[in-house]
Amino acid sequence: MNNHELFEAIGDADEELLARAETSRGGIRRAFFGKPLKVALLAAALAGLLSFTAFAVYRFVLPKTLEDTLNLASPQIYTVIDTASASADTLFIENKTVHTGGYAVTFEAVARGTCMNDIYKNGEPLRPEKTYAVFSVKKEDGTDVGSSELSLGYCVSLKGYAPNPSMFPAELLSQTENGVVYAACDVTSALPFANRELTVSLADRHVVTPEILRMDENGNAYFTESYHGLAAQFTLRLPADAADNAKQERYMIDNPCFDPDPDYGAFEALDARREAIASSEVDYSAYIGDNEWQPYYKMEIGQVYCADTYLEKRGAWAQPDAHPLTIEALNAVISRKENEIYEQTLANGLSDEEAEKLEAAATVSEGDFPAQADRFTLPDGSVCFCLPGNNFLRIRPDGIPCFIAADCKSVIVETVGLGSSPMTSHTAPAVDRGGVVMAQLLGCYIDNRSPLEAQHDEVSDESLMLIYESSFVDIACREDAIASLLSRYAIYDGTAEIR
Amino acid sequence: MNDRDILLLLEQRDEAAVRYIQTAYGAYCKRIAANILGQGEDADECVNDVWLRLWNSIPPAKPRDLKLYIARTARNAAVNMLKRRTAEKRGGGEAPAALDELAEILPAEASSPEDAAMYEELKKSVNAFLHTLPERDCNVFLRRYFFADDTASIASLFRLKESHVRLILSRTRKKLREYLITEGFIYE
Repeated sequence: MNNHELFEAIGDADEELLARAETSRGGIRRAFFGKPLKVALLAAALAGLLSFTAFAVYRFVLPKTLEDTLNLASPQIYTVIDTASASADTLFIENKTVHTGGYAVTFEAVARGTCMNDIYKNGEPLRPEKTYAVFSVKKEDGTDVGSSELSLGYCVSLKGYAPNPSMFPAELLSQTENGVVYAACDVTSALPFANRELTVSLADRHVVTPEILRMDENGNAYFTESYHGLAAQFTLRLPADAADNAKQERYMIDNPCFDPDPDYGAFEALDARREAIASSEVDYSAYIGDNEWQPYYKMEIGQVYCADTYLEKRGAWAQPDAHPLTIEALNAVISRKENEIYEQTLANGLSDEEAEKLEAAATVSEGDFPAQADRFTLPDGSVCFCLPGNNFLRIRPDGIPCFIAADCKSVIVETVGLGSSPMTSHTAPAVDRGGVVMAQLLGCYIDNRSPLEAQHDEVSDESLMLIYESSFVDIACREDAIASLLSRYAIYDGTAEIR
Repeated sequence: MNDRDILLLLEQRDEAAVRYIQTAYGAYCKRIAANILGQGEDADECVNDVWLRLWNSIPPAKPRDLKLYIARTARNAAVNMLKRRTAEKRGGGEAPAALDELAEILPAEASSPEDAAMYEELKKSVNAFLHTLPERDCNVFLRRYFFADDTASIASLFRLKESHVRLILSRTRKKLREYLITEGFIYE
């Protein structure tokens, strides 16, 4: 016998041993605890024990025994108790179980904080500042769940809005311990909606698409009949003090994933959205477009992506179906509406002559414009010019140059969405400043990666919100910079008129 | 697309299955191959070999756990390639170090189980030995000698100091040697 043979013999180790070695990360309990210093752990456990005792007394008003109430004999509950003990940030212990397809799915808890910071995904720890819904999945027949037997995915949905996996930016981490799958689902972005009716749906699919999760006539998410896998739904409780009506409004206005379903108050919801827009100090009209036709574009240097129309693609947002288009192809896509838009422009009080003048003004001849620039038309008749360095100039049908975006990795114009993540849908607002409307996207990160990849690598939704807000306040002082930028390209001479 | 869907596609002889496997497990497979062979063309070649082996083996094989099946296939392919490469005297990867460590178990003049039956017995014995180990030690042992992870990676994975990992491996090798002596595979 030689060492090669021994090495090969080890290669025939039993599957369950290999599965355990493959998935084990030092034990679920340790994983949930972080890297405890013994003293700190003891203190945390003591504090947790006290708070848990108080909670249990309050919550259950002296039930038979704590063990009976929380079924402390089951290992996953220990995990939750550990979690609760390890962190003052544990929010709710749920301990609700759904039996589905031979599995028992238990919604263990909603938790956040340092108890989560030793769970890793692709080498990156989960963020302790995020909030997670923690589930366990066991086989009902008592056998182990295989390490790759399930491909769990989840969707947090808001009552009255068609469930969409991208409604809230989300990440699911799962790991298998002793035949039980533990899943931590990021629900942070749903926190502002804590005062609304939220549902979390867990399925045996990486992505919970509208094909398997729909909304019924009462505005509740339900699994479709064509889906036959693990299907568990729970009411998602979040701390009431996290509710933020202003953020809700902002999210729902800006985010195409909050899709009012046509069968459930669609028009009321759409009207409410429009009303919110109308009452806002920000001029959203620049990128809302007309009511029934709301295209989504993503633009990068030399490329334009079009995800087709919002209303036409309803229910298909999980499909990353945006595809690269040339400027010409984009024009072809939108040309079907141009005549109509032109007529609307006329209906707004412009004469033929004025409209033609606008068109002529919006058309720059060769020589007026750098050779590498390209141009395209938006559905409302605006003409956009691509400038080097991801800068855009938009000339509205009324002749006002209304949109400049500069110094960003990539640029979104109009409401943008690739349909897979609300984080791809933020757009710079257009704000009128004395005839020149400018906006700057600050570090918006839209790119070709999948939304989940982008979500991990780039800013959190919270910081994205800050970026968004800062794009409002920074605009006022940017006129000089924009004028300077334009003068470099001999388009804008410092007045409100276009040469 | 989950593992069951992929297996269904393989059973239907749909080549899309290979694309899905490559997407889902390409990096995983490459890591195992590179652990054994080192980064480079050999690992890439090995990974390509794995896709072919999977295509040819499923069906008739019906793996219960696709990921582990891929891991085992990748390991076997890499070990075979390592044998060829060793014959050509080329180095690289963690396997030579792992092999050296395993050589400690064996005496200089070891008796050799020439026939296949003896080798089958050896596999069973190794398996039985693994079942006798504490869970953590077994996991660490398999990460080193099945997945050919380096000790630093294992330490990070199990939140242990690297020196502790080496100690666990050393003790386990010693236990394995004693076990194989008891079983009559090697002589003191």
